[in-house]
Amino acid sequence: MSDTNDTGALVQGQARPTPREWMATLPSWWVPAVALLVLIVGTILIEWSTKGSSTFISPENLLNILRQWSFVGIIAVGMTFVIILGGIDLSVGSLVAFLGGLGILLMNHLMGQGWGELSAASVAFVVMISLGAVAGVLNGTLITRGKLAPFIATLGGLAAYRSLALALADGGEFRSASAEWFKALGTGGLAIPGTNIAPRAPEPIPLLFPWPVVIFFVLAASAWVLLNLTRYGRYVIAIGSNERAAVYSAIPVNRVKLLTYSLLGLCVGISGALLSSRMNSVSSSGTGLLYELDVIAAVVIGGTRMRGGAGTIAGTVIGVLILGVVGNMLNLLQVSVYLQGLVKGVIIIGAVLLQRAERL
Amino acid sequence: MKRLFTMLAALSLVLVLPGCKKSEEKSEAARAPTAKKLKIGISIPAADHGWAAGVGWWAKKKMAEYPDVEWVLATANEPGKQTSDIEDMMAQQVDGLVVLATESAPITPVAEKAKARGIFIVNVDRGFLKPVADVFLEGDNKAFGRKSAEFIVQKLGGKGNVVILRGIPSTVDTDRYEAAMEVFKQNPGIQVLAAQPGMWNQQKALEVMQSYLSQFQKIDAVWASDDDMALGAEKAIKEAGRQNEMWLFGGGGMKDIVKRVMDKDPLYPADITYPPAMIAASIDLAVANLRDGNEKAIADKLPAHLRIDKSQLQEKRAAGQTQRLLKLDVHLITPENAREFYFPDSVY
Repeated sequence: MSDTNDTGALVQGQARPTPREWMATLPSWWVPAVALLVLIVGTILIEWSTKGSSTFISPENLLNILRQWSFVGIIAVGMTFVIILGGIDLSVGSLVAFLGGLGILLMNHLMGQGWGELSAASVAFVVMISLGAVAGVLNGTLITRGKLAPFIATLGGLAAYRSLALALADGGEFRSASAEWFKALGTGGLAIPGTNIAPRAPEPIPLLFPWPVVIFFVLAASAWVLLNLTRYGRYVIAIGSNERAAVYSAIPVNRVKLLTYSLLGLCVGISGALLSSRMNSVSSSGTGLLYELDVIAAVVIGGTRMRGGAGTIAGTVIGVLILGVVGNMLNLLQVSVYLQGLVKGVIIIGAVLLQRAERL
Repeated sequence: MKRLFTMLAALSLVLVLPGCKKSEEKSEAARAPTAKKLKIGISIPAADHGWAAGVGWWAKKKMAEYPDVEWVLATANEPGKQTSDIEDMMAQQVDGLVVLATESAPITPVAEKAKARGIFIVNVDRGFLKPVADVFLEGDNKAFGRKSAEFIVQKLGGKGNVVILRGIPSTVDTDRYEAAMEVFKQNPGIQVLAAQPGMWNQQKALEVMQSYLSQFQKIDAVWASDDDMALGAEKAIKEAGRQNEMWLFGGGGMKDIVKRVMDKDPLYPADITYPPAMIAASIDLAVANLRDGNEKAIADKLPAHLRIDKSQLQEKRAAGQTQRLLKLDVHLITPENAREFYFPDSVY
């Protein structure tokens, strides 16, 4: 916490800072950033030493990682605020499946009523995203008015939304009836001119910069502004560091909490819309399963304190990238899906240990 | 100092992680690639039940038979992971893909993408929603349902009470169930008391069977539509002490069940094949098509229960041809022929 506060004074007073002082001037996300860099270099080195070339650094692979993790990343951006606030939300994964399924049902229904594909898909997207915010308001209300611990309130959501999704789909899948428009957002992207990723294909296929990645970056940038440059951001940090002090400082604690949970809900809605669009379907039992774990892991690896009061958006983005690079590396090295969880677990625990060591 | 410690710890953590993979990787690298090798990706569901474990076992066994092909194998526990797996394979520039979908709908878009890139796709067992694969090899689930139901009717002498355990909602389950119900309906002496999903899962099947046992006074036969579920149901029956009242029909050809059919266990008078080894036949098909296009050469190598009707195969694949459907016949396993379908080394 104090790292960033005393930096200015230290650097000013001395002509040549010692390495330790120089390190103190670094932003708080430097540890995960270094870890990410080492991870990337390590992966490339292993690939070169065993195969003589690297698939990892191919632009297509890097964009794959970004797209695969942008769905988690979008939620993690919202979760960063909630955790800085001193809260938690366990319902995000189930909510993704529920909202996505509902969106598909709505779109199929509208198309059955004679709506065009584009208009039905657009309405479905808008409804999914706004219902996400509504679900966030519900969580926030339970926590502020109902005085429930965030863990309990959202644990209820975890069970309830998944159950609703299962019941709506009768345990199966929600399948989109739309062929093109609904799929466009999740699978499409900005074509990068002059590229061709498939020499075998009858027609050249350009490399895409996927929409979900664009949205993830835009959201992260807006979140950075919100957290660092607005009064709301300062309130979130203040409440997270000391809620009672915040109350005495006339900060509208409940209103800030409500807003924060609904912001996260909005992010979940966006992620659910993109994910259902990408898969062109939602599986009631599999979609968003254990997302809460990945999302919280990304935030924690990024250096946000579980107790609240401190955290950065840049750290969260790096946390998402670390999880993505690790998963991709394990895939490229053909490690069994069962062991991948072990590696993820070691990284989460390691990250928290590191941050604790730093603060001692 | 603290910072230094942190940094060292961070470095060692990230270095150790990839390091432990290295030893695994070396054996692969030992067969160093010389020319441009054929590269084929295999994407299958993670082994969350016996049949899927069998798929993984047969895939690895078959991969070892083609050391000159570069294999990329990935197992996925849910469709999102499987989509990522297939994308990673595309980034690795595979020539062909063998895909057993975790679920049909979510895997269809990524399969379409692979197809558009000119990758040869063999789809196994659980189909895509669009005919995007070059070859779709599936077990004959309608025959599975029909033949197993016919056996039950015959064994009961056309009269008795049957309960049904269904699988995970999917085309595989629907085909089996509807074909069986058709047979049962043609025999008015057969009473189907109930049909509920056991999700192809032992634990779930056990719970469903427990509720059947408390609901129904007299059950003559259980159509479990899968060997894993039959084992779960059997536990419930034995716990209730009603094993002399009824018998079970599973399905799939699990080695333990085949053994019990062979040993004339009264609980398992018969079984039906639905071999996870179909993944092996698919791998053969992928290699044959990518290498010289001669599928017929592989047809003779396949064991009896994997035989594909030769008229469905062809010498060379015509360019631009749409998905071809190959059906794998199912065989009734009885004490007389069980030895033919018993693979003691297999995990399933």
